[in-house]
Amino acid sequence: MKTKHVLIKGSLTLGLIVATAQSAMAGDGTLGASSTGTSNLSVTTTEMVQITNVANITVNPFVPSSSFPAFDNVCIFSNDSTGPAGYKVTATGQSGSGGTADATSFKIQDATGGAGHTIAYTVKWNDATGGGGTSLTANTISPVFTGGNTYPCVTNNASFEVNITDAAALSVPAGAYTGTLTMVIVPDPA
Amino acid sequence: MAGQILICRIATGRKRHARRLLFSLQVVLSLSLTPFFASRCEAAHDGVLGPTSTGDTDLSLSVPNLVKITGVADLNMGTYSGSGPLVTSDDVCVFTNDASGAYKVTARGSGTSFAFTLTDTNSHTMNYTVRWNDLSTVISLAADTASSTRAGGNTTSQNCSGGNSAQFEVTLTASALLSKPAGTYTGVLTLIIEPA
Repeated sequence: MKTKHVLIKGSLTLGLIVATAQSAMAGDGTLGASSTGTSNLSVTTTEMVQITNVANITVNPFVPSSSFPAFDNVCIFSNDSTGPAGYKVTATGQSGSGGTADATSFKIQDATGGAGHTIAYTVKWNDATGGGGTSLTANTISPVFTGGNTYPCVTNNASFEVNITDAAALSVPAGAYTGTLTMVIVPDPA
Repeated sequence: MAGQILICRIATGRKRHARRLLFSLQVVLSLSLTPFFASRCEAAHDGVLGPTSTGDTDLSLSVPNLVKITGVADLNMGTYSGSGPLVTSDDVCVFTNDASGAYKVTARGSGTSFAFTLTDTNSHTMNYTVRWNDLSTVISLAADTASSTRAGGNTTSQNCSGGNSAQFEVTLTASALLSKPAGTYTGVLTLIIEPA
């Protein structure tokens, strides 16, 4: 008698499990005056970011006390799942063209390059337009900034600023100095 | 119907009395019902006592419009790649015993007022759209609103002989997918088929 009781309890438990599993699955309709089918929908999105509206900064000619700082307004999108569109930025400089990234500094150079033909610059990031903001260290991830969470990003909501001192610009021969500033945006937390 | 049968049975045993009763009922009943009762009772006949006895009865069956949707699958749209819209569809079988194959479809989402929305665990909602393809014409469905008459319902096989006769499609735009915090979003889409 005791054994039977145990068996019945086991059957009931199994039945409940089956019923639960079925309710979570897609369902066909039955034949009737109306028929209802159900489909469970699911989609997963991962954290993504995007920087847009990046423009080149061209200073020609250089005017002491006037040309810098120069900035560009950009648009940052982030669907960060843990905060309000949080992101971080890592800036890397590359002097000249076609060369390798500078690991620890931001520089531009003329066609000659090397000592006496390189100008150092600094970079700031602001999670608002208009330049200014937080100084960035080359090749180092920044603190958390806040961008926009509407896709696609339409209204600029951040800016980066480049600054070259008069002393630095005037300590090299006249000429064209170029480089590339790369800004890598990652969601927060990355 | 029960009353009708009772009257007919009385007529077999006590014909004259029952006919008087039937006449009285016919007077009482509305004009529209009187021919129905009369014809039904007069149609069935009992047999007479003899070497053989033959009774006959009229049979009637009213088959209503019936429909059925099968082949409905869950749509797991996976992980969004970040490029373009996500469009997923499922082939289904719609059966109808309407000889024309016509039917209507109503789609209901699991959002507020049956809105087509997916939700994450933090109650963020993501909108999607639904289209219905009767394998002839594709239309957009509005939440909880019966469609215009669709065609092509299978009229001979409740399971479309293993095939399909329609398709529903769910679309999530890139804007919808990315304008909400990253995560897993789920919902239920209910498809209701009705005779046209």
